[in-house]
Amino acid sequence: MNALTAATGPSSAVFARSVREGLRDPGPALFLPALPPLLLVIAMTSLFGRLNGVIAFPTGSFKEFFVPGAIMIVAIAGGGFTSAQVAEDLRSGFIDRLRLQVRGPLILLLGRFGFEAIRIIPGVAAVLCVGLLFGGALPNGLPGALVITLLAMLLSAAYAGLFYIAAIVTEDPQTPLNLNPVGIIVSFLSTAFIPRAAMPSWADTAAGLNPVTVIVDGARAAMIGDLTSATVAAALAVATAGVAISVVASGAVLNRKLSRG
Amino acid sequence: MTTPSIEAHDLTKHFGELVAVDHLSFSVSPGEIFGLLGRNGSGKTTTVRMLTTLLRPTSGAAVIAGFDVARQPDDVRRSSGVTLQDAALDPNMTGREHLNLIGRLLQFGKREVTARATELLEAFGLSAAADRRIGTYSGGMQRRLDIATALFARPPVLFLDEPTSGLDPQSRRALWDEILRLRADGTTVLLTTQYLEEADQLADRIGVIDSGKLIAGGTPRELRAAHGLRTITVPGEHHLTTLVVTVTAGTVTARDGLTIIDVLPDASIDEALAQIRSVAGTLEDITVTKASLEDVFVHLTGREINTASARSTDRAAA
Ligand SMILES: Nc1ncnc2c1ncn2[C@@H]1O[C@H](COP(=O)(O)OP(=O)(O)O)[C@@H](O)[C@H]1O
Ligand SMILES: [Mg+2]
Repeated sequence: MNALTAATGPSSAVFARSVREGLRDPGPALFLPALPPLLLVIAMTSLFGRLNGVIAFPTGSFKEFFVPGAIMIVAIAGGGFTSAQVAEDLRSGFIDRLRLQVRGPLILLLGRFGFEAIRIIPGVAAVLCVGLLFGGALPNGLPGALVITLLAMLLSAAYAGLFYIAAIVTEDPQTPLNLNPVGIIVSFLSTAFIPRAAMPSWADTAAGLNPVTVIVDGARAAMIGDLTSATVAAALAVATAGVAISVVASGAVLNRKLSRG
Repeated sequence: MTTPSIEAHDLTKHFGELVAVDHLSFSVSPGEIFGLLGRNGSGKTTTVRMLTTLLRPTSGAAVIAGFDVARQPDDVRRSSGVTLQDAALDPNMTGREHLNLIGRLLQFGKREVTARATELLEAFGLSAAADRRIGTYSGGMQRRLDIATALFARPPVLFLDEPTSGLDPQSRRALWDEILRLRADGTTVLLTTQYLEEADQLADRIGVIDSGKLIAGGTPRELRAAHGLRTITVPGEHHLTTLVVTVTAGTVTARDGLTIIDVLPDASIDEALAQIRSVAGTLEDITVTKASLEDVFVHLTGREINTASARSTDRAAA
């Protein structure tokens, strides 16, 4: 508890620094995450509307099925924006200046995870609105929208851990760009685009192992299915666990890197 | 007896095969400025990084303001301020944003942070530039901001790793004044430098470091006295062999129409002059020079280089 309160001041300062970075560079921080899913929503709903008869969608029509998947892609496209600055701090040596002021280097990452969670909110809102205009549905109303936003925030923070680890190991400010292809793989090998039943068996196996699948399924249930279902609970649990694993792992990697001097 | 502010006991750091710092021991009293003087690559930065908890020593120990570097790193950090050799700052932040971040990381309250940041910006002549990006600051301004950062929590011990390297002479002098003012306020300062003049001007005591070893230490005056080879220069090339045995350090050079005699530290110049006159007759234009700290340094590290090459010759012969 003591450690928690002790971390809030420093973490809010690191968070504020990330916010300034984001506002200075709003393209990649705020707009880029929404761009691919917006294009996908418009293209897919316009072109593939007739998939309904071809593939059996577990919930709703293709359009209703696809919009929650697209919203989750906001959390993955343009992922790990702040990892560039983590690499830059390591490369320049500014990290030494910062870590001299705090108890453990993890404190220098917590605020960044927080910013990774909130920076995608505008993108989520944009994709949700455009999705509804292009044939999506939101029978669960505001509560459904809030849960899906929360899931996207958790996914964005969890996913950022991967970028932090890569940025700490390589000290390369290009990390967000370098890891961009990973986003394509984890979204296609999940249920973001099509149901598992419609996948070839190898992809079905991969999607079954992919935690993003659980989160996307939960997002879909929150938007057009049963908001109080186990599917939503499982998604929240997996996303939260993902954040915890990312925080602990990236903190450990940073600690190891710095203690080697 | 007061407890030292900085104590190093056999501090050692290996990087693989390389021994960067080799059994370094010294202590610095409260309110003292200690200058760690050495050339590039002699182990100064490695020493500072170990004393400030940024680097774990391979062996040996250090105590800062009563706290053990290995066992109480948080206390050491709280009691010391550090500027590192490459003043690493985020060029995209403003000076004020930077100090605010530092203060918040140190867990000061918001209002306190704002007040202290303003105070430091004022004290270091950065008020006008406070809301400009650090990337637009001159080298001297960045260095001042870095020192202001180190002083945020008013630490009793300050480490400055080559604080004036890369600065123009004017900024360097201005920084010297800042450092002397800090000592006047009771801060203990360990600074590293490659510049003899700087160590001479600022330090109460100097430790000369070479190849990771402390090869000499003392006040600038003591160093001059212990290692400063006073020399007597006599016109004409004389053969003063008897003198060599009795009063000099053993080196008499007769060359280019001059005879240069190095006088042993504890020998009397007057006695030496009397003996020279008795051997060489009455001589005009005798000059006596006291070695500068520069000469001391060259003497010390030059000897180090010579023994090193002698050793490698031995190995080659064996
Ligand atoms: N992280 C490191 N890994 C390997 N060698 C290092 C490292 N840091 C310093 N060294 C080496 O240790 C020696 C001392 O370096 P340093 O302490 O930076 O000297 P100075 O600060 O006096 O210039 C040098 O030979 C340097 O190359
Ligand atoms: Mg150095």
